[in-house]
Amino acid sequence: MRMTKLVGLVGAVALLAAACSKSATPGTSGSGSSSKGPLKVALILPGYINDLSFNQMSYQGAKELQEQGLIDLAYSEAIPEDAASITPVVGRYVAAGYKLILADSFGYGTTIFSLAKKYPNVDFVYAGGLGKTTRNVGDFEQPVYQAAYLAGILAAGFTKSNILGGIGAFDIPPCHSQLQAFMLGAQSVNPTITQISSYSGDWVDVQKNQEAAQAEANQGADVFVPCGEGPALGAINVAKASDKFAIGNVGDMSPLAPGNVFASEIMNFYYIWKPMVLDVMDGKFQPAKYYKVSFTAKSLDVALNSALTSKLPPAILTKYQETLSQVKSGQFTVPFVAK
Amino acid sequence: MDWGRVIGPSALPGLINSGIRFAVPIALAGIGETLCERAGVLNLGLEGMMLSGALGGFMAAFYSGNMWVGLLVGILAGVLLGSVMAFLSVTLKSDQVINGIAIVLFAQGFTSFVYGRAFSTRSSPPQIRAPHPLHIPGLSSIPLVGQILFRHTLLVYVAVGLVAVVWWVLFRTRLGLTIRAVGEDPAAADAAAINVARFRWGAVVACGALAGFGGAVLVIDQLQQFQPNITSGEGWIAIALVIFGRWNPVWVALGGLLFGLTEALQLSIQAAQGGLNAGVPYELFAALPYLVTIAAIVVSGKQGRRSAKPSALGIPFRKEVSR
Repeated sequence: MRMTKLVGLVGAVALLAAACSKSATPGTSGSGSSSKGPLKVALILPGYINDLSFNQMSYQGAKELQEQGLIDLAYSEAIPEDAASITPVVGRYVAAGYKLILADSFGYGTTIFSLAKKYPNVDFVYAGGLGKTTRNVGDFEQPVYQAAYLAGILAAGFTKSNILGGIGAFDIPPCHSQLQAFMLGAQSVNPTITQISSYSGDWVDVQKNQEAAQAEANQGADVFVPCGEGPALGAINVAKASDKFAIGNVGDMSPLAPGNVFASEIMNFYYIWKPMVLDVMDGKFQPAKYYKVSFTAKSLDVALNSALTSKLPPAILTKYQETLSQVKSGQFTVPFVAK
Repeated sequence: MDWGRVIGPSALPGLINSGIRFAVPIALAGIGETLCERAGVLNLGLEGMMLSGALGGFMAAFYSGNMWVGLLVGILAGVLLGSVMAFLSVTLKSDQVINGIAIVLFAQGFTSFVYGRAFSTRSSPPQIRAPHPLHIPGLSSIPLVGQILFRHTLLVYVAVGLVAVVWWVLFRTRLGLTIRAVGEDPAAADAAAINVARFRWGAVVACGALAGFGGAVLVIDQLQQFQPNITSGEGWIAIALVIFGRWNPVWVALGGLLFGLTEALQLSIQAAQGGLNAGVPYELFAALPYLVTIAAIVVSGKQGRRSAKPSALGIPFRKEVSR
């Protein structure tokens, strides 16, 4: 019977769509006016510019460069990571004369490498964090794990159960290393601290990530380290509701829960984008580099919520300051545990 | 791995409550879809209606500071999209599958756009206050049972009540009989002087209301915030559960609970086995709720020789004009 087939099909479609219905609508906005002065830069983002995290920090950094008159910025939000979605967006920017295209997601990589061959006179950067570059595709480091280690030192002073909770969207090297570094940082203060972790399999589903954090809270975790926007929003919600603690991911998330978010890992994209922009302007971008991101260059940071951290024992704060300066000077290298 | 941390007496209430939280929005949308499909309209726009209810509910609760206003606006947002679906599918008699998918795509784009425009200038995402759980006096202090059943927010009990109401209406009232007649054999219903279009309209709008309510409950009761695509596919799960539940609201809701409990269980197991360097890949766990749902649909599909599916499901009703 025809309808039986249809219902079966609908069931299958429904499940499939549920598993991958995270696509969003592209929205483009930008400013016109091209002259000799500012460099035309296009920023392509996987998420929205008010996420208090990766996307917002990326956008704010670029906007600062625009306000200084260095660049002429256009951006596209919520562009899915498949080739069919990103190719036309890049094509439009190239046709409009944009010289530097910041494709700000790991998932854009494969497409960007092939588009870069098609447009050899345009410079590209993608958020690989792996150091794979070509003549006109640059990459930059994402050493958020170093900030996580420092925040972990502080976490040792906030945990009462001595159990930390890690929530990642996926078990990829940036997330794995971050959760591991957080635990190692806490253990450098108190070796009896343990950490339980889980992966939600979803960057945006706040409910699922929130329940992942709740499951860890039920098993005793009282300080959360999230990797990803959904995990961060979910973990902070749990911390807020049950008087626990969390750190913010990539941007300062303490406004979400001033009494619970004691520190945030920060990537300051103003200092990440600027050297790339200057290189393009000076004609020195090619062959493209793997750009460094570090505490010394101010592109990496930990934002402290002093209302909370001021209550920590002085020994922990001293340890934090010492480690920070050791990382800056190169005396201490935060272990990168990717697997 | 220490199973006591997952299903031991001290862990059980947390696990089941997490499952219930997952289940409530899905079940609400699912019983709405049941009504709608019983009347013969396949509403694939469910996810869009939930999403609109979530945004409408969130924005109204945020600006008014009152969660009840939020819930009302969430329901209205669902009703609005339900009316669009009814107009396209019942009045214009166009293809229901295409109408539904169009509504989802519209809602995904529109809610992201509105949310972005309304709040993008703020330095931090807007939030609303969380409702307090009700501790039902006496009952909530029963060990285990009290912790599992009697410490939820009011909206959880409202949702359970709605499941019962929809079941009662469908199977114990004249209205329900009419709805089922319209979905089973619209020509016969028409011959019995039933206005098929009117009852189908009503069922689709009621479905929109319930889906909008489900979306609003998700953001107001559980998350206190909106994010683009925040319902992340729950509407699609709900549609699958209607098939699983054989078009019976009680079974649809229980299917939602099964899905929610599996989700809660897999997260809990991940945490209990350490997670970071777990022996079993987390991808397997993440797929578990979907696998269980598929398995349940297969099992329920094998049950019973007579199909519970409304015979006229998905077919627009055109009145035969005798010449």
